[in-house]
Amino acid sequence: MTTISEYKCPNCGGPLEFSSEKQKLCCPFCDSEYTVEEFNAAPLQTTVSEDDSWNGVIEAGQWDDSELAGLAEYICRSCGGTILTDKTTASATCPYCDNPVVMNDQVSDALKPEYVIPFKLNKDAARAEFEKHLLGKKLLPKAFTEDNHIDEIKGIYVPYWIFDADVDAKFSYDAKTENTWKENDEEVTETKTFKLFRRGTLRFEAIPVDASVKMPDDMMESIEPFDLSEAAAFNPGYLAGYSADRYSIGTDETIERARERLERSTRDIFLDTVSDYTDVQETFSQIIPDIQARYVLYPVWILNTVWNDKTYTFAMNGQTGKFVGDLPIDQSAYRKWFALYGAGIAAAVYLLANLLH
Amino acid sequence: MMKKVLLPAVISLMMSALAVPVSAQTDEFILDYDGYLTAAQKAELDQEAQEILQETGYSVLLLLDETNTGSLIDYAMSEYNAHAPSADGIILAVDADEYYVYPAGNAAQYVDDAESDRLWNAFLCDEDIYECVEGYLDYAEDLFGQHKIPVTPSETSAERMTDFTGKLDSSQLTALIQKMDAVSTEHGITVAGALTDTLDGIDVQTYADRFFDLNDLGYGPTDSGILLLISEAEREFAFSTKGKAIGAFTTAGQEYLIKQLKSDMSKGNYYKVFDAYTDLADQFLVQAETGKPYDKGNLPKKALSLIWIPLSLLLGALGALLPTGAMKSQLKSVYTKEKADSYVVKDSVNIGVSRNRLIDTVITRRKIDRKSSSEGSETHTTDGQTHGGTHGKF
Repeated sequence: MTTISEYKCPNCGGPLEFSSEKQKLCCPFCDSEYTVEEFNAAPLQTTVSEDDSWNGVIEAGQWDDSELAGLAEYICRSCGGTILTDKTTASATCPYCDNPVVMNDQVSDALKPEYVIPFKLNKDAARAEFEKHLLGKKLLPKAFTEDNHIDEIKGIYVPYWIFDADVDAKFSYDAKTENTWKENDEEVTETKTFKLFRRGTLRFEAIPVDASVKMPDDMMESIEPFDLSEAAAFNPGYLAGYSADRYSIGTDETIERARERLERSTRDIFLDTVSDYTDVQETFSQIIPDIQARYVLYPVWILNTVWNDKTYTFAMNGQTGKFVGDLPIDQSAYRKWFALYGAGIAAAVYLLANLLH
Repeated sequence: MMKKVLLPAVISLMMSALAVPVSAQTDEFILDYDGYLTAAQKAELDQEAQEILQETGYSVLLLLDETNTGSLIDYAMSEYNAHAPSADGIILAVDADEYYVYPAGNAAQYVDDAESDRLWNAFLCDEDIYECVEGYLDYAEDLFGQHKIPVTPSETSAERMTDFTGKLDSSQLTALIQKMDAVSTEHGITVAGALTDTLDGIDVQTYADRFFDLNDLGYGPTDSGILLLISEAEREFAFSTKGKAIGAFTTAGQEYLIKQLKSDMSKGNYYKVFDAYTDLADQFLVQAETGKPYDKGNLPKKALSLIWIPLSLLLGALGALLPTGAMKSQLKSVYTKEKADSYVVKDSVNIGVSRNRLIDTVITRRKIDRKSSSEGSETHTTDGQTHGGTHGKF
């Protein structure tokens, strides 16, 4: 049996949304505010059971089997509208009445996240960061800034696996030191060759790897870091008003990414301990991480815009405000700047050659 | 070298000669103060000695003076210095008691005691004095013929460009002579060149200095000029300067000239070498007339090679990649994170084991080159003449 939760205002019955500014569930109609804990104390929350007839398949015949296999269907109890999402969606908004709903089954039992970092920045902040992102970019087409409008801004709780690791590492290096001094009319160089050995331990915490197949990995890594100290124990109430997905990529597939990153950092840290030497060559390494995984939801604003028939996607860290997204290039502006700089440098080189000749 | 002569032999020689007064000539090689030779004989023998000088570069003199009572060595030296047209040569001095052969300049390396005896023996003969002197001159001619310094024929004026190798064709030689004549006349300082096949064991700087002096290349009362001499066999060259040219062509200036000419010298492009040398000499003389000859810190600036135009454009294009690359990178903000540095727990890094083992130590030594450079012109003397100059190999 699938259940969805609709967070309705106990005062007026309006749809409650989690406010990033106030960090509370707020009613847009009567301005009532409730903390998630207050709202969870029964019987404030309305949990609605679905019909058993729900099987996640629409019988209208518009979808083929492979597409239908990935979809889930819910009925909005506020307006009766059909909410069609994919099976990993944990939170959505009714497309008819804008009522926020949470798919409980996607966030309960084994699928329940340990933590959630609530949104700290709202949609307006995301829009403002987007405007700022466009400033000062000499090669950005002017038309992009002038014509551009955001087609969609969506607040999404992105599922992450975060990995903690206790690492035991050993390294060996060949290295040299070199000293030079003058004796009468000779330059004397003393070169010493060493064999270096290092062994030690270190700990990593909360290395994030996004667990949603829908989210581009490089984009999710670009908006790091998230500060887990501001995370709260998971409660579905935080999801109200935002989209959310449960994980679609498991730990087996994501642990390797975390391992790669921590190994590189470990290698750098140990290399730093031999920085007094020159010509350092690593001859042996052994990195043994003891890794544990945790499942969390992190807040991300996703903005989409279409320009010249191409979709540009931007992401903002909903906690820190870090904004990323690749922009188009004005090729003629690039050529103009290249020619200007090229001519200037060529003239300077020629003048200098003449002076020194 | 001074020997007691066999008096009876000498007397018999003298007795067989006719006593004739000695007449003075411009180039006098046979100093017959005893009057054994007729004027005609003396003139012929002087002419023969003159030819020897022209052919070999060595002066061969004879002094006959039985009235000498002082040091024959001193007498021989003073008479040589008074009469010899060149710094290299010999004088056989004979007085009533003894003979002495004085070798001057370069001749000293060829005329030792044994050679002195042979020269004396060549002079001794059973014929009349004329034949004896001829015998001496013939022997000296053979001796110095093996070690000659080329001298241009006295009938023609010393050409400013001389080629003993035949590597320059007549049109090239003519063109060089004309160019050198024009530059020399314009500045009142000779610009000359010589291409020889071999130095005959003589040091190249000495050879060049002597060539300059023997061929009277100097211009005007100050005897000013510069000579570039190249010897093909030894692959050596030398500049010889004299008079005002010493100041006009400083040591640093000559080093600059060498740099400009060495490549063509190495390739054997001798016409190109001497042609470029004449142009550069003209440039140097023009500069010298301003009162500030080319010297260290004040050397000619050659026009920048045309290759710098495409090279500057290439460097400009490569350089432009940096700022435009930076502008381009502003548009890209999505990257994967390769490391997890932000997730290292503070103070969790603990290096429990740290060992550094010394394997070996190597000490290397390198001599530090000390280049010294000086301003102005360094000078030296060759056969009593002051020259400037530099030399080297190519």
